[in-house]
Amino acid sequence: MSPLAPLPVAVPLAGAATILCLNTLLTRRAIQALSMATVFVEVGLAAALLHQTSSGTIVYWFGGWTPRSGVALGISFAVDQLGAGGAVLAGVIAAAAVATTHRTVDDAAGVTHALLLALLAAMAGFCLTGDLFNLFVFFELMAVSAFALAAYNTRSRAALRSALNFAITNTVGAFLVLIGIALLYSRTGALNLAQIGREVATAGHADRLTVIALSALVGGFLIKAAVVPFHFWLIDTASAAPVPLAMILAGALDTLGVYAIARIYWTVFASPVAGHHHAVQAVLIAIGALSATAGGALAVTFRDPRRRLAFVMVAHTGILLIGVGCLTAQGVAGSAVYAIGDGAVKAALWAGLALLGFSRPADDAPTESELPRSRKRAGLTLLIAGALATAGLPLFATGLGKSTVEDAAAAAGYPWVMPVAFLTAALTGAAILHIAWELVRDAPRSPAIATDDQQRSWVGVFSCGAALLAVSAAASAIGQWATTAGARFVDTTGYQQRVLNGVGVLPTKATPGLHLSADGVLLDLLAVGAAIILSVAINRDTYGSLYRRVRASTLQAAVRRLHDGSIGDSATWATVGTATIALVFAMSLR
Amino acid sequence: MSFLPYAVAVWLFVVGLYGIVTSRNLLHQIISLSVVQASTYVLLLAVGFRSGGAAPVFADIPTSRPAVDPVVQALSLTDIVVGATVSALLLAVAVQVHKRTGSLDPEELRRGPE
Repeated sequence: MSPLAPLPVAVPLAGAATILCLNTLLTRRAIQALSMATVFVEVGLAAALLHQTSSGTIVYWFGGWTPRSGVALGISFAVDQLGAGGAVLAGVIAAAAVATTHRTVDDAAGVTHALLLALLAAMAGFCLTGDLFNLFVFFELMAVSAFALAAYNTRSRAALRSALNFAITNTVGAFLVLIGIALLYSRTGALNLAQIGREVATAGHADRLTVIALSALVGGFLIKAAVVPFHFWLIDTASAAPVPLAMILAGALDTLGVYAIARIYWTVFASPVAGHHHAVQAVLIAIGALSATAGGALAVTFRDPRRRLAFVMVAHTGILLIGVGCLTAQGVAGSAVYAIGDGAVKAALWAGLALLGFSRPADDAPTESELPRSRKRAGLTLLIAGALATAGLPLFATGLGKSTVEDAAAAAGYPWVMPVAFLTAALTGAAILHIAWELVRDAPRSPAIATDDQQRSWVGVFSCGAALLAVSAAASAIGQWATTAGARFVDTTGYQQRVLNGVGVLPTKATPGLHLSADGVLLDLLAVGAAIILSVAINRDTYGSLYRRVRASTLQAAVRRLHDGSIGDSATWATVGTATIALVFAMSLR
Repeated sequence: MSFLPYAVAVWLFVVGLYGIVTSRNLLHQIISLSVVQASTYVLLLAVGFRSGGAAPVFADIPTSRPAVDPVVQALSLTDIVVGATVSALLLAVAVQVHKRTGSLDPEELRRGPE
């Protein structure tokens, strides 16, 4: 039992409380430094945990309530490689968010930092916990701190609306999760993931109650993951949220929704639905593919850069979901690499947009002042490098992750995922490149920034973005780690034995590390090329008329109207999505 | 075992969701969310109920006596705390919306054409 396990959650919470106590006493700079230091300690602790997990899952029982004769009594953290990796990723993205806070948020005070730290604590706890109810509590803590941040700019109508949309939709999602938990508890009398898994496995097959619980949990977590058609709140929130929150949403929060589905599938549902896992596979891959293509297509047709980036986030969470939806170790490994590589890139893109003057919601327009040349150049550099990474340039981990997901899908019997992922990469890359071309072409169209903004240094924000891109590039080297982590993640019995009996045999089968094949490199380069050509074609006036016609079409108008931030629409589509999933599961899992 | 509490839970969930979807007033919408949440209380307590069971406090009753499940009561309590936080924050945002726009209609908050 490692005493380290609860610290990545406890330290940020303690940091948040300290900052709130000292808020009036300390200068802004001191608060920023304290907040930064807390995040770095969290990253260090999570990295130490990650190192320890290489020899197996770490189980920590709070208050020393260890299981008696294989029955869980207390509450546990069960930290495996992917869980610890998630806590590190959340910390790295939060570090970038905290570092850019005083440059991108007006009057950022102790409250902003306290909320960011509480959000980090919740994300870390979400990754590390081995208890289903704990998972719900951290889910809610993430949602509450994030939506308080979303409502931070009370001057903006859009920010207030998006915070309401975010909060209401996500809370409905949380209640779906809670209903799933209550149903599983009624069937098994357990809340520990390993214990529930063991109890439902002895029942043999999935009865109707288990299937309803699975649907409710998947629906609830998909709302957090914000895939189509659960994504409306995200588009709204990302278009008005403060940049640090947008970075965390893009880099870690959406990913965690997919992580939770993977976690509950392999700890609880893998054995009862074993005979019918094709249905689960089909549903997850279909939603992922829909999200990837729709997100990519809408990213190109929307004009507002912040909304565009939000659709890119939706599209890429779709790819992640496809990887997990393959329900194989290879798919999980591919998704893990993609989550790290792509999460860092998207957070860097938000840093780029902040440099280019998009750090506020459109309806909170600052007093006019021109963007300094050097700052614009720095922003465009981040944007273009990030766009190439988005399209899957093999230098970055996005390329490796995407091609592994494609291979896993082909192995699972879904060869059409390859062209879907190719199209998504080209569309999302083109959407971001087009923002850059437009800013280069019509200098006057670049938004004005506030005068006091102009005097602030941009070097800090640029270095954060560059560091995130470097993280993404470095993540290409974790192929070997990812395959081992994936193989252990899908080992349901190993997890149960480790948690409940304290012994566990690690899968001994040697797993070859992930690497990009020559075909994969070629395909990724083709996608990058396609993205560049597409963005230039849209930008050139000769093809511009076609693009304008698409944008002016009735269908497009209807789609735009759907995304205008109605809370009712958001909740309706989330309900429709969950009901559809439940219907498909009810008909196919018996 | 009675099906009534489960039927009530489903009814509360559906009717609350209908309120959220169709609401034209933010306060009404937030209260509808609380109604959805009420369905989870009913469901949790129904799951742990045992007819003839005593309250699960064994200070003054023999330990052999059947009692209702204390775990779901703890879960409901946590759920209530979560719900109170969410409602408080949402109401605070609603106050800000009213201050800024003079209206509580969520439809009026929708953004104009892009």
